[in-house]
Amino acid sequence: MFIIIFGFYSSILRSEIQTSHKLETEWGINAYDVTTQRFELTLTSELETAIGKASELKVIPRIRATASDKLDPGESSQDERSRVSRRYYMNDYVEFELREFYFDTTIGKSYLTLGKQQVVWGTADGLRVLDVVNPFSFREFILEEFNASRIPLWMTNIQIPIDKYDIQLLWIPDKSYNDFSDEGDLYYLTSPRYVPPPQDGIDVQINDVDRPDRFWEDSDFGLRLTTTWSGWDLSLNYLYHYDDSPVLRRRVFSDSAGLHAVIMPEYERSHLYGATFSVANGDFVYRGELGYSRERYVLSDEPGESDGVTQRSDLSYVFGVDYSGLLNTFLSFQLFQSYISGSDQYLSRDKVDTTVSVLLNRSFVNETWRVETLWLHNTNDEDGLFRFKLRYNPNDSWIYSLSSDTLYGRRRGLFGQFSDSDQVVLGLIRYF
Amino acid sequence: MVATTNLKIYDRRKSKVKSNYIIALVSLLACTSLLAKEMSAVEIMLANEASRKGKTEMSSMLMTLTNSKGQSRERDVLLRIDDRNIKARKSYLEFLSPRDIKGTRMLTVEKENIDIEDDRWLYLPALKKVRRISASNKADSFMGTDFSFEDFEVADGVVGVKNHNYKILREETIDDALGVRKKCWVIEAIPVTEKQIHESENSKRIIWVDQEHYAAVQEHYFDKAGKLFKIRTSTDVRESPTADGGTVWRPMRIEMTTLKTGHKTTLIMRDFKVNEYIDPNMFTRRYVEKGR
Repeated sequence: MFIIIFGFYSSILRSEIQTSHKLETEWGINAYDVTTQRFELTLTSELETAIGKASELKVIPRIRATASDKLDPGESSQDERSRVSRRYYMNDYVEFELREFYFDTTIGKSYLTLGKQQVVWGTADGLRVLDVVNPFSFREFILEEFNASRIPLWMTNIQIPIDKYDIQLLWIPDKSYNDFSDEGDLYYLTSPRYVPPPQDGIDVQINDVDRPDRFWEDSDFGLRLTTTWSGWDLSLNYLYHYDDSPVLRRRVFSDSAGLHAVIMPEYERSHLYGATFSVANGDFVYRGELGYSRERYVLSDEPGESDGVTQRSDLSYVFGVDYSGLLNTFLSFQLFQSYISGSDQYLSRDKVDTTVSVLLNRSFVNETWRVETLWLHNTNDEDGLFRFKLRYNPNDSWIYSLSSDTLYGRRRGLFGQFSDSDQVVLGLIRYF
Repeated sequence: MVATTNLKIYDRRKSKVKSNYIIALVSLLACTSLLAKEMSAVEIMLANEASRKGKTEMSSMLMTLTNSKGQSRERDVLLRIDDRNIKARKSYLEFLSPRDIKGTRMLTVEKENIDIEDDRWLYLPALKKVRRISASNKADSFMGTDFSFEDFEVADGVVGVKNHNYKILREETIDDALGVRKKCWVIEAIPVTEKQIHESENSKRIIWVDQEHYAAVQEHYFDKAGKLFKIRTSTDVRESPTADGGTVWRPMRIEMTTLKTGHKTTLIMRDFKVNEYIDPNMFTRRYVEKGR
């Protein structure tokens, strides 16, 4: 495989394909015990070639070499990914992933994109309501840039302009879902909001996930209508999909050996209806997205629930305000709320779940220096994330960065469960 | 007697010639000054706008950012401008290099009514989506250059006259940045509407408008405190044929220097074309998202 990849890159040098490369080194250090959480080298290439006047082929391969890795040491199970979307492990330290591979063309006034790609819906930053077309890798929890953690899928993407409207149609036969960390990995989910908590005296067995495998019937389909009207950017969205997070049904039984629990992960179909808007007014931009689904499954301890899960409707939204009134400064506030139907008694989450975010981005000295701070806070579990990042970009080839991630709050929370994993990260990027 | 008479006649003729010469000279000077003062400051700025705007404009710009130590960064930028509506410019801009900003695209669609917000969208490859951004933050640096968003607008002209006061300070002959002598009007431009005063980074601009081609060969920018903080020079004015058989004269090199930091940004126009057909679809949010 190494020879094939080397030959692939060598052939690029002789072709007329436009290429560019990004070599990134990151060293993550645990803030408490000052041990290395990860030390990795990532090479991401972009190869583009025009085909005729109206088409292009784009390939984005990525090679990652990890010298020290607590994120997912060794080879990950990748049960959540379809065979055609998995990472290829050369050994325990080096992996290869074909990130994107698509053919892009125009047919009349319409656009057709075929292949492995990312499709991003919604107007929110960092909090997702409609950005669920592609699943995500949670290898680094939510600390990785979305562009890198979003899992590209093999799909057909058609965009048809009709007068002032644009219609986007998606057909996604690729059955890959959120890639969660395995037990023993640094960001293995333990929050009782999302996984049944272990109980003393009960032997727990986790079954393999029940994956959809019918080519047509289990495909996802999406439809988006966008337009701009009187200064407003508007969209209506519909996604018929398998929720990217499995429902963790459980069954408890007893036998002569004692009490046993079997966890049966299963993906469930969902209809997601959504809308977005974005409008500017002076120094402010107001934006929002709304999503409604009737098929949301929540962990429940209700005595009548035989499988530990209950189905509810979910209405979620994000409302954001961006302010650009300060020189070379971007300030953004977001409010995220999720409402589930019915009573929240016995449920692993509250009826209304609220998270706020504040982002401040300031550049200096002709954008050679950039400071960014991000604060995410969940008011229900009183936990959150604070990130600080300093970036120095002295020329077009190098970027140096220093960042810190602080997770705090109650251990049952999404963020608080990782409060022992605060880190400082030194980064270096070379473009060529 | 005759000689004396002849001499007197000669003297009278000479005197008459001299008088005629003086009258002609005075008349010529009067006409010249009349011609020079015939154009008001507003008319000069409208002529300046006319020299800067065709129906469409296409170019690829080489943008060089140089700090006070001489270290430089380069950007390749694709620029498309639609001025078919002289009151509402549409401009599309895409960064072709370097790698860290390649694929960044921006579209600005001005509105005829100056009280209505312009539309502006930005596509960032790292986010893989288009976002609407405020068009009011005109004072912000454009992508780290010494040009602000305001500097990329055609501030003076049909729309500019509604929110600026213009005054001719003097006429002056200067050497442009390449040493070419240019006879200019020196125009003072001061924002007067509340919106313009609030959004602009300038309290005043002094503009040297070339009397031959009406190009603004030099511009001084004064901050809110009245202090000179940036200087722009436009040079290498060349004749460019237009696609519809006309001719325009445009500067092919524009340089902006920030005095406080000594940082400068140089724009060099390449593949410059005027009044070629540009697909109107290029100036839509859809195009910014797809990049084609």
